[in-house]
Amino acid sequence: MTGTGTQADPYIVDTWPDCVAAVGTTGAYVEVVPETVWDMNEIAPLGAGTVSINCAAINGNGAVIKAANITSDLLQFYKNCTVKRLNILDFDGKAYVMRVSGGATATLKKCSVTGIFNAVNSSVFYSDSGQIVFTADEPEYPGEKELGSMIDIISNNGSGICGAYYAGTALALRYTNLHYVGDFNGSAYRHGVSVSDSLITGELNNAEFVSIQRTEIDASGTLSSSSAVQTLVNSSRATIASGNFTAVTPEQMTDSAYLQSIGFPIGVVVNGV
Amino acid sequence: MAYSITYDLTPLIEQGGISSRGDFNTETVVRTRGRIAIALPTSATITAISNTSKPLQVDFLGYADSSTNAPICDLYWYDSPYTFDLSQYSGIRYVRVAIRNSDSTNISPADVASVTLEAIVEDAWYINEYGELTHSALPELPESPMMPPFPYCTWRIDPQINNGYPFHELLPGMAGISIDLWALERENVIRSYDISTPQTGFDGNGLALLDPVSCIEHHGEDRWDVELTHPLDDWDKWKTLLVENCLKVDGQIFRIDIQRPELSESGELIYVHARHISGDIAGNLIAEGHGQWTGGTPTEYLEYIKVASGQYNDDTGEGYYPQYIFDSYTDYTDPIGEIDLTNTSYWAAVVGIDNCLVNVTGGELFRDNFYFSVCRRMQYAKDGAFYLRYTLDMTEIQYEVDYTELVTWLRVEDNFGCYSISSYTPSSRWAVHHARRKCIMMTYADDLGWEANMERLNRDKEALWAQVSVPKVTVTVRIAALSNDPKYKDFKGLQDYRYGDRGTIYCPELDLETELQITSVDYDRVTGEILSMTLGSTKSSLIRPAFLGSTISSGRTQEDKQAQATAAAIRDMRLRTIRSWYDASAYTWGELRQYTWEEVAKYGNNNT
Repeated sequence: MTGTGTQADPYIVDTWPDCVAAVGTTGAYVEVVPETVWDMNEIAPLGAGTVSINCAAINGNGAVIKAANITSDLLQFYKNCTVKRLNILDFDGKAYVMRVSGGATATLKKCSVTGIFNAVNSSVFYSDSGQIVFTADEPEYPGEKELGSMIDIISNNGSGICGAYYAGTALALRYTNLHYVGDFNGSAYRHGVSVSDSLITGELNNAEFVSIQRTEIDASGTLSSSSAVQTLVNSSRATIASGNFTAVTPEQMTDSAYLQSIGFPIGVVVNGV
Repeated sequence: MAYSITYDLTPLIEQGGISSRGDFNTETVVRTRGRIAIALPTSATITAISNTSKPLQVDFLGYADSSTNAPICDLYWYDSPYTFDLSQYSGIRYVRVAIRNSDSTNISPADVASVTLEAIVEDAWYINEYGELTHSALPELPESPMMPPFPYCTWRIDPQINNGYPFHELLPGMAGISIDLWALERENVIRSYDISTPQTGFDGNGLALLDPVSCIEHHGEDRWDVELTHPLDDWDKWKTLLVENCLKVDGQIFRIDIQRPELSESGELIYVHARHISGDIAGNLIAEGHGQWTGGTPTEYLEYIKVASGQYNDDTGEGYYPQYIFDSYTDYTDPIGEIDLTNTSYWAAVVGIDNCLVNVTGGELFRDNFYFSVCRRMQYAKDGAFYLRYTLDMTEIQYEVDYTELVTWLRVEDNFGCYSISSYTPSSRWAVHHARRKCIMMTYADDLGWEANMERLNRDKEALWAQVSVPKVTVTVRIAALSNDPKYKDFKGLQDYRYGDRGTIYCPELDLETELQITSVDYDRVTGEILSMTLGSTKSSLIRPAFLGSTISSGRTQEDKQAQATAAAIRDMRLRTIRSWYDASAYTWGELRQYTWEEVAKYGNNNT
């Protein structure tokens, strides 16, 4: 590990122990060596352990935490932290993948989380107090695309996507491609999910959103939200229980003129701009 | 890529102005109600059209969020329409618009006919080239939430590990290290099935998984069978080895036709012999009245003999013997002429009789349980399947060149007076020491007319010529069991050679490097090893079954003499009918060309 942990001279890490130590340092700035892959089958096959995060920022540079056996909460945020370009792929979850406490906000930009969640009556993400936000990153070079985040999870055993000790938005998804199969709300926890400018697919069972706007839902399940704005729902798959969702047919979903006519902000490619 | 999004702001126009401290009341400005979410626009064009004759001016306000009063930018007052360059303002996510008359006189929402805002943004919802609604900022989803390699902690299933049952990387003995992958690859069990097993019932384990002492499979050009010896075990598996029951060995089904339990000094054993299930259709007879094949494509021929031999499903089952239904295929398309198939079996019509499909087409037979095919190159057989080297892959090699049946000149005659000759002159003087000339008599039952007789004779002659005009080269090899050699443990299927495969034999000691085709192979199905293989140099000399066995003769047998006498009598009788040129006009040239003028003159009316 090199660097002093300041914004100008962040910790540069490439090994898993160094990373755990660096992100646990309060207020530190941490950067991972590009193209780092931590294969948790090799590092900790019996359980990846809990990574306490007190630092201010982590730039993953596309790092991958691969095949983690999550037997205790994997990423535990205690302070406000911006995490960029970090990927947790192919996990087997028996505890929270991410947890936020102390009113902190964990902002994950251009991050991805994929895996199967097997805990009983739990949730993939959890907030004691605070918020987990998935969103897009700023481009690192002109014209960089797909700056948003991606979540692809199969959840078993009645677990939901998000749990919270307090009511409110515990999980915010912006510019996020979410594919979720399982019980979206979960059964034993409060849940608070806000979504904007995102795509939701999969099988949600019941899904209640604190708020949702400018989003496409092409998933099965029963939907509800007291604050749904400009949200398209594939009416052939989902059922709207309550909320101002916009039910559209699959044909209408692909009709640019129609979408514009109902006020959905549909863009047209501008050549040469 | 940039996207253009157009917003109609007309319904949002209300009275009042906008400042950095929030909204304020005024009679000279109208504004949009609330904020419009537009992420990171790089430019925006506002077009406001008045209901009055007064020109309008516009004000663009960009905000970072939905609540802060202080804008990122407040760009005023520009004559409508106006395009605002926003590239220098980062972080704009919400916008508002204010409008006034250019002379700053009072204005009301009713004075504004329409207001549109066209924003150019980097990311937006749009319809992609596949006609799907998508957002340019969203990354692609992976094919699956979990991609290999999976976490070791997960139970999973792999057909090659733990016999296909769930396994766990972290549990000892289940991660594949103790499993013989070589054995699994070739399906290392031999099963027995009941006589009443339906055609689709051979996927299960059947009556028993056998523990034979030995199981030798022979797959050759004329037979495909297994010989299995099993102990008289305490679990009574041996009692499942009844005649007419089936065995499944290396994925192929064999029907037991010989059973021989024996008690002797060498032990208590049962020996069974089983032939490949395709032998079942040797019992399907094409009875009299159903055997007149009148010509058609080989595919039609296969369908004809299938139906004519009673190969069809009988759902009632009552009063009939059950049977398995076989599928067939051929890639030959040239028509096959008339054939009398009366009292011929289904299988014989494919491979047995002189004018069976294999002989007529010269094709190679492939069998796979209830399916068979006759194709130019055996289906699923591999070219370049092996490169065997003596001392490495082979423990024994026997190379035989057989000139005993070699012929350099062949004359073939039939019993209707037709004949045809093939010969060749060797390019090298001493390739063959002396000419080997041979005459063969073909005896056919029916007279098809001269042209058809010649066509038939030529077809058979060419096939025979291909067989006898080259020396017969065979190589018999005994394969080293490389699977037991740890050096080759990673090479699954290294010696998975099959009947019909082609490959190269290399033996410098015998000055031999040649490409050959496997014409018979013996397997030890207990160990999975190949015991020996026979390979031939050409298709015709080795793959084809004993050719025309019932037709060819030397011409010197009693039957030949009788046939020749009959043919001579018919010939003579026809000759006697030609007593004049007028009589000759009743025959074709082909029918008369066998006679000489002297013969005609012998019986003819010379006065004519």
